[in-house]
Amino acid sequence: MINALKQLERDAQAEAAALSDRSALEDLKVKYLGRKGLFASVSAKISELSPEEKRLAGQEMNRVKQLLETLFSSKEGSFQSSGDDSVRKIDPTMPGTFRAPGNLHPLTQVMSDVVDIFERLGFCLVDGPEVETERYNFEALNIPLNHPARDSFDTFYLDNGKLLRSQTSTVQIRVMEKMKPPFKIIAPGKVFRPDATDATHSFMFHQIEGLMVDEGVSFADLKGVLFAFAKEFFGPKTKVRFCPHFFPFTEPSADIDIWSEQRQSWLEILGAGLVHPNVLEAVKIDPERYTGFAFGMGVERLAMLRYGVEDIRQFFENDVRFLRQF
Amino acid sequence: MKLPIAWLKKYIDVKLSSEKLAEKLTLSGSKVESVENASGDAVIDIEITSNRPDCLSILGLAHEVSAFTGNRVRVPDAYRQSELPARPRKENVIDIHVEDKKGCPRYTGRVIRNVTVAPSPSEVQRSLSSVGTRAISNVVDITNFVLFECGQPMHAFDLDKIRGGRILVRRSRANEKFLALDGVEVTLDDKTLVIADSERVIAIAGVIGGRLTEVTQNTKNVLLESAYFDPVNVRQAVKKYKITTESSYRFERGVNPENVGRASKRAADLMREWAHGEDVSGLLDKNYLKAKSGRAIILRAERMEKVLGIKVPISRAARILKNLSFQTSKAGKGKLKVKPTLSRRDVTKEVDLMEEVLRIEGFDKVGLRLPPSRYTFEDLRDRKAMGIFRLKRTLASIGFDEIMTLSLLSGKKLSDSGSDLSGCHKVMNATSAEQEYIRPDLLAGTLEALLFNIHRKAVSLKFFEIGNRYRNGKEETVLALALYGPSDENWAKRHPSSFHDLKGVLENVMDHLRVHSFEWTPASSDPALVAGSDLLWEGQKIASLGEVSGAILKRWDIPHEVFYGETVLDGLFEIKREIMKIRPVAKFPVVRRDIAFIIDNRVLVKDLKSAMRNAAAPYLYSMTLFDQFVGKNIPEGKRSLAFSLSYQKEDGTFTDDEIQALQQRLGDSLKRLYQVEFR
Repeated sequence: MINALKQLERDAQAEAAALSDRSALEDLKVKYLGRKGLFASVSAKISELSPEEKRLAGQEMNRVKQLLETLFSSKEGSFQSSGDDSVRKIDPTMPGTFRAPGNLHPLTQVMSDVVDIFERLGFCLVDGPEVETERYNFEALNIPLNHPARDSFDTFYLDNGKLLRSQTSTVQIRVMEKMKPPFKIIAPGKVFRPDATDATHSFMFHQIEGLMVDEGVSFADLKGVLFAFAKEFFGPKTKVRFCPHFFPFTEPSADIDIWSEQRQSWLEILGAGLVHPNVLEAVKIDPERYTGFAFGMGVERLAMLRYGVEDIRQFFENDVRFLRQF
Repeated sequence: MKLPIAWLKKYIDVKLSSEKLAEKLTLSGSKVESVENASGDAVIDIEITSNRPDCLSILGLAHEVSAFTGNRVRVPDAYRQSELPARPRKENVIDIHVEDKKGCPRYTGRVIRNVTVAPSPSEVQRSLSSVGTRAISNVVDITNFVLFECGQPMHAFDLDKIRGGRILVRRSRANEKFLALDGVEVTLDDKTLVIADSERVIAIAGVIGGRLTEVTQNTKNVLLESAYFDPVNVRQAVKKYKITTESSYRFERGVNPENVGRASKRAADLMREWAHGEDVSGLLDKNYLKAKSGRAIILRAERMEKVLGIKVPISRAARILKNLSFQTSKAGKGKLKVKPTLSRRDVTKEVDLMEEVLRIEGFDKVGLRLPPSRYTFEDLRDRKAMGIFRLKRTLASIGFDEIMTLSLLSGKKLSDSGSDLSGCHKVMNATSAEQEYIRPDLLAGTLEALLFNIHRKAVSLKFFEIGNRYRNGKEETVLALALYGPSDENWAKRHPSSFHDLKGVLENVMDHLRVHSFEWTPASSDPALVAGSDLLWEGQKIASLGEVSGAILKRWDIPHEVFYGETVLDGLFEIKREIMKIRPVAKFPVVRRDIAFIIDNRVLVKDLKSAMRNAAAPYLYSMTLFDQFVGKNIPEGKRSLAFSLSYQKEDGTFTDDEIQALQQRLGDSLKRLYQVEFR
């Protein structure tokens, strides 16, 4: 039996050396080590031996079995490392199967980019509620009741006497009530106005409010900050102009336009101004000692200009064929 | 406000082209919206802000043009001086009485006799049409012409139709009827300021005249009204009756009370010229205005430089302000005393004067400066606002598309989504049924967004929205998550969505937020959701997840399951954490054993895990469920669960016997507590 095992060892080595591919190796493994393979049939004869012979044959069996296993596995390794094309053929042009990422809403992307620019300029990101009171939306912002200035801020009222803020300037008051100057804040958020919905109007939209209050803040600081922003956001060659305007909560007030080569006209992108002394007084900040500037911009408008979106309603339809382009 | 260049040129010389003029106007604060050049007569359309009613007239704009060109304005004689009030005379046949002196601080009438009603001169007709007003007849056109010329609204009554020879300025009585010029009958409330004769209302003060006293082809005698009405009263009437006219627009913003009599004189002059009418009464003036001389304001050159960031010599500031019709005088070194005219009642503060100076000097003259940053120890930043941006990026990177849905919704959509309307807040002045309520949750908006895409053949949707909801007077920021269709689908694998997918996403979110001590309840408390769970954090429910009920899907006509969850984010970003300390990585090898058993469905995995942890403490350091099987060979009401267990010792290697003993203890405990049956 020991001889038979030795013969088996020699045969296996010879056959293994002649192997050409992996499937032949699998066949060879079955031929020698399979349940009804050669090794099993030779080993079965051990029961016919005397106890002394059994001991020796057992040792030999172990040795040969181990050798065969090592032989086959090293052979397997060699097929793997040399890369057997016939087995490892793939089509690399089939799509990848790892889950695809989702998309941030374009308005989020614009808000995030704007906030990033102002954070670099030292502004802190803050937030305020959407359901507000007369005080924050109007009174403290120097917009008296029954004043035509309110026409620009048509506002939704709720059944509990509160209102939906019609501008993010509410955050100015909320911050100034809590903090002592100096501060620089940037506050994106949702606002609501009962406008009829069309391609350029939505009763819900987003604004980004900015405010800086400190000693010695001047109109030149306002211009510097907003020029820097316009050039960061729209590109370094952007042409910017400041035109006098009116907002109840700033004085002087300005509209900021950028020049559109494509349309050959100025486009309004921001409203801004120096914080009105009445506003500072409403939050008990001394307007002789402190001055400040504030600005606000419409997020949808920025996004429409930036991405060429023609209809504001697309932002709230949530059509994935639209959203997934961003 | 439309500014026809031809009309403007009657009062001031303008050499600039209309485009150049438009640019100059914009850069000095009169924002030009368009320049029209139809039929050769250029018309500049200007947005006049609510603080500048003085610019709602051609003369007012001529003064603006004068401020930047330096050219003089030629004001018609009538406007140059105030006329003395006429004494009441018998032949006036009209008695004016002002009952509400607060609502009408000044009312003037003038009786014009023997007018010849005819079309206006064609030049006048053209002028009126260029500002958007239809020419009617010379008498009516005169009132409109004067309104556009100087900004003072006027009205002409047919004197012979006024009953009882009496004009009464009073508040209306409830349910009093008034037939307006446009033929619409208005039912008045009990507080509208009106003009009445002895019997009836003949005009809503400052807003619109009446049909019954209208000037017609047959009119012979006219009563010319020029008045100052309280802006708030007029505004309330405009809002109440939804009527806006050129008159009300100006009264709301405040007309110049000094102009009331002068405009009347100007109209009388034109009545004579265009309609051969004869001013027989002079100015019947009921003037209750307090002789208010505007408060003087001191402008400090030094302060101006500090605030504007540009040095403007005080002499130059004085010249600019004088060109804008302010009275100025020296008030010491570097100081100017300025008195605004009654036409510029928006100017009340030093900073208002600075703006006047700067807008004429040019905003472009101010240089650019970046303010120095002052470090503040107090952190102003809002952790939630910052955290939301990061959370959104995380959700997008694990495969969710961000949606934004409208915060106002119809009651139908809300009840279709199972929302309890009793806690919802209604919008009082909604302009459509789609704005009826502010959203109490984000489910309806999410379902609408899903449906929109399902209608466009979408099969697999993963949405999130972060936004505010409002119910029972409370505003909360929430995260809405929705899964529709297979959560993973490609040529290699297809995995239908399940509650546990959504749960996994929320666990990812909690991990991102570093919120660890939370637990899941056995069922969701949200009636819109079935087969779900609530997430508890510090004993509070912060989320409900589950499958949207079949009844709701049916109402929305959504064909397949939707898994939805809403999580309150308030508070999660503001948790104060101590800096963590790392645990040493175990030096000795982990021993891994699998365990599988059949157990009653009602026993929760959470309870099994704690039983196993207790039984094999402190060595069992992880238990991972890797299989659940129901069906063949498993009795009804039971399931087979398989866990992979990892044992770990801090101070050595386990022997086989030790592991055996641990497994035994663990198995015994499961058998004792839950009657499990090992496989």
